[in-house]
Amino acid sequence: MLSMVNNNKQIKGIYFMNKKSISLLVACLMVFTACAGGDAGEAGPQGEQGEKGEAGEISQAALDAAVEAALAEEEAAVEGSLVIYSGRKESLVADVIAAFAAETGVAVEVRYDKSAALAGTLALEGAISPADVFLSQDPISLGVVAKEGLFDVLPAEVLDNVPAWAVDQRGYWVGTSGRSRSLVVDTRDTTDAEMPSDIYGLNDEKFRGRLGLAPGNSSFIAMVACMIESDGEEKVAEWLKAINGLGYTEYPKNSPQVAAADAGELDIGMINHYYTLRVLAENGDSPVKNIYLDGGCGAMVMPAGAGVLSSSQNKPAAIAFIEYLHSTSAQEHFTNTVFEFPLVPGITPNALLPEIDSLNSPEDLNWSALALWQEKAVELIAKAGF
Amino acid sequence: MKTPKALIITNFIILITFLLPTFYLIWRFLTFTKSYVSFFRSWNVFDLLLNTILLFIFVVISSLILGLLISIILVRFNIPGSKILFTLSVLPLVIPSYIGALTYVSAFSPKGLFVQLFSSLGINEIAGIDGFFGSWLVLTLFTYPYVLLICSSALRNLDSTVEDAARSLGKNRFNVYTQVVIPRLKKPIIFSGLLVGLYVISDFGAVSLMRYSTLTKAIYSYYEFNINGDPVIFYSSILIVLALLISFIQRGSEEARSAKVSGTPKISEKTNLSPRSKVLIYTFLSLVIFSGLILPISVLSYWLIRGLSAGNSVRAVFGGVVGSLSVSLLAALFSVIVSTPIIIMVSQYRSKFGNVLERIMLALYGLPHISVGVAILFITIKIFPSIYQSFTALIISYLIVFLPQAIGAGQASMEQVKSNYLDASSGLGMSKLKSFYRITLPLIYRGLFAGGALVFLSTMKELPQTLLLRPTGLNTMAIDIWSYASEGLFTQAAFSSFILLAISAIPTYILSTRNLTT
Repeated sequence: MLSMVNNNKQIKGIYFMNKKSISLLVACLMVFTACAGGDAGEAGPQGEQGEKGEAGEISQAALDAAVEAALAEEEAAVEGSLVIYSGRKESLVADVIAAFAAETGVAVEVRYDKSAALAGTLALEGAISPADVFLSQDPISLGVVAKEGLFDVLPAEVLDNVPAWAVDQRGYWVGTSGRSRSLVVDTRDTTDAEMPSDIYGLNDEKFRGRLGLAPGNSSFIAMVACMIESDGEEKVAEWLKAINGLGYTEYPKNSPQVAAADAGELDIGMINHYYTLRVLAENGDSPVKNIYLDGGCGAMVMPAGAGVLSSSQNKPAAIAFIEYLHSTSAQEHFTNTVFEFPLVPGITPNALLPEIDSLNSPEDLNWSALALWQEKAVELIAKAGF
Repeated sequence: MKTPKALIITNFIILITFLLPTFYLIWRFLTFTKSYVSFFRSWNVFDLLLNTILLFIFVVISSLILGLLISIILVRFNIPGSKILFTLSVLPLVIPSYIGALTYVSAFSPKGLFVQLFSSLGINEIAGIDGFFGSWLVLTLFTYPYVLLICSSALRNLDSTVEDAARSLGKNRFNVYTQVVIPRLKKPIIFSGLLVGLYVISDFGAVSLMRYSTLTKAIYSYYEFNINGDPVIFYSSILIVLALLISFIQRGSEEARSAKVSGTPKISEKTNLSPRSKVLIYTFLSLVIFSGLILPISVLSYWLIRGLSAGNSVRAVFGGVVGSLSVSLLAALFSVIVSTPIIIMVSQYRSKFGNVLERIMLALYGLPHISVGVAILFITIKIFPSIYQSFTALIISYLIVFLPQAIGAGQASMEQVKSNYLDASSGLGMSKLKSFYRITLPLIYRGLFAGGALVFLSTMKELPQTLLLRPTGLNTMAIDIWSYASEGLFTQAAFSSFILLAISAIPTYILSTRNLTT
């Protein structure tokens, strides 16, 4: 049943695509006719010069009109179908995507996987990628795709929706919400006084056997990439080895670390801030809380974001989708349901969130520079034995 | 009889398609631009190989011990209720390893179900079952039934004259088993041990839920966070070579196995036991059945009830059920279509090509799913982008690893088609195609159907290939179970697990019992 509904949507999408292609085809035909006219004029005798000029003028006008008509139609309503590669979890974004599909009538298909895996997949696919939009939970995965030259530059009005720190410097992708690295702690087994001020402080005997992390998580890899960029490979490799030596509990993702801290199984986990807030929103008595480190990559605030693939055949719909992520309803969803920082000015952050200005994130992080360290980060993590 | 050209061409195309993934991996392996040394330096190849081989050795040994011991107990000793005990001891086979692993992980995590249930007794925390120990335990519990099925059947048919002679020469019962019976079961032991071994090195679900780093887990993690496909190709190639090696040895032992002694064997009489030994044996069997069957089912039931009472919606698993059923049906249908020309060629026309075809197809049975999935992923991106992320690619990938099951089942039924039937038919002026339709097909369709059913069941439980190759929007129960379980959302995982078991358990039991016993 479900797949039948999907098929219908696809058929609808194809129908709309055809309508669009027909208008483009008409435009092309007009251009072709005009060119043919020009050729005929050139081949003709001198006396027909005036006529040639006239033909040229007509063709230019016809071309403009046709292009304008085609553009006007696209602006009037976004149509077609969209394939989204989402590195953000289904439970976090499915509602927003469904609302976009319902409002615009665009048939949307989503492929969910880890952000890094999808970035790698996109890099492998290159021009044959079926994806139109890449929605990522971290800027490094976006940077990897940008580095491969697979994104289109986004229109300035989309880039201007959010503050400059959450935008790719070359305009290949734009932030859609903000998240901070943090430590989740079980307040029954930890004290504020023993908490380090930066991430390197976790390398301490007092934390032996008490740490948790998700070595395959895109945000953890992003943090390690940031550490390599600011502190150098050697220091990071040493830190990773030391953390491994202290004995850690490995988790597949961030959310189970918060659940483990809540259950009393884990003292300190390295996560993104919002998982803890989600638990606290459900149960205000939960013994977990976030520790925001004071500076360094452990305090990094990074954007989740999106870009449009150059190979996309549905760019207007793809851009419309990204603009939809900046809409008030989507931004409010991100802050009130997911507990992220909204990026569009004028949206009130959820009350559980700290002031974004109070966080001491490293300033002026160059996301594309960090993306260059992704592979090295993965290698160091693997080499340290995680 | 001369083999029809159309049949040769069809089978040749099938063969080339099926060998493509292996050849592609080997070709990529041979043309790496980086030096092999750099792989060994950058990635923990030795650790992964060592972990994989350690698990292989330990699970094979423990499965053999468990399977043989239960075979001997139930076949050679007079135990009331041995039939039902046999069925119960074989049943863990129907539980896919990742479902087994999720029940153990959730029950025995440091503060898991076990601790919650017994907290009143003062238990606050346990060491937890994961890593090597967890993988070993779970894989042993869900693979020993293969040994049990194969060895008990061999033991039943074993001629007992040699044992009687040994006993009359004054050997005690223990020595008769260690020095006579087990050595004479050498071939089924090797065959079933390596079958378990193939299962172990290809297993992805259990080791990844147990967080034990083997080659399969590494392939998936590198796929998940590496832009550069080299380590994925590198590990997949190593794994495929390892599997082919094991599969090759195993096939050799199977050929030897099918060479049976002529005449009716003298069947050993069942030995009576003292009440004390009976208690011991019942305790042992209960423990095994409890760990392999009752515990996993109880844990799943617990999570299911907890999920239902928390108001988990049935709708969330609906997509996975529909997806699983549709891909499994497609795979089953195509397995019948593709296996038919191979079965006809191998059974009706004795030719060199037929022999090669048979051997290769059977060897493919051992190919690790994840390696085939990786190869098909790369092939479709680099060479055939038009079928990338399509059902076509996914089904081809399933068929490569599951077709031997369909061939095996079909071949057995093909033995009924005597060549003189076909000679008579052509003597009566029927064309070859008509003979096939009127004579061969009616005789073999049951076998083809059984083969299709096996492929259906295997596809429904398949995990790594589906993860790598699924078309966008396709969800299956296996994917749901694995992703929920790896996030620790056991109530959701239990839901899909139950539906999967409800659909597959009984047919899996019937078909495996039929296939693995002679």
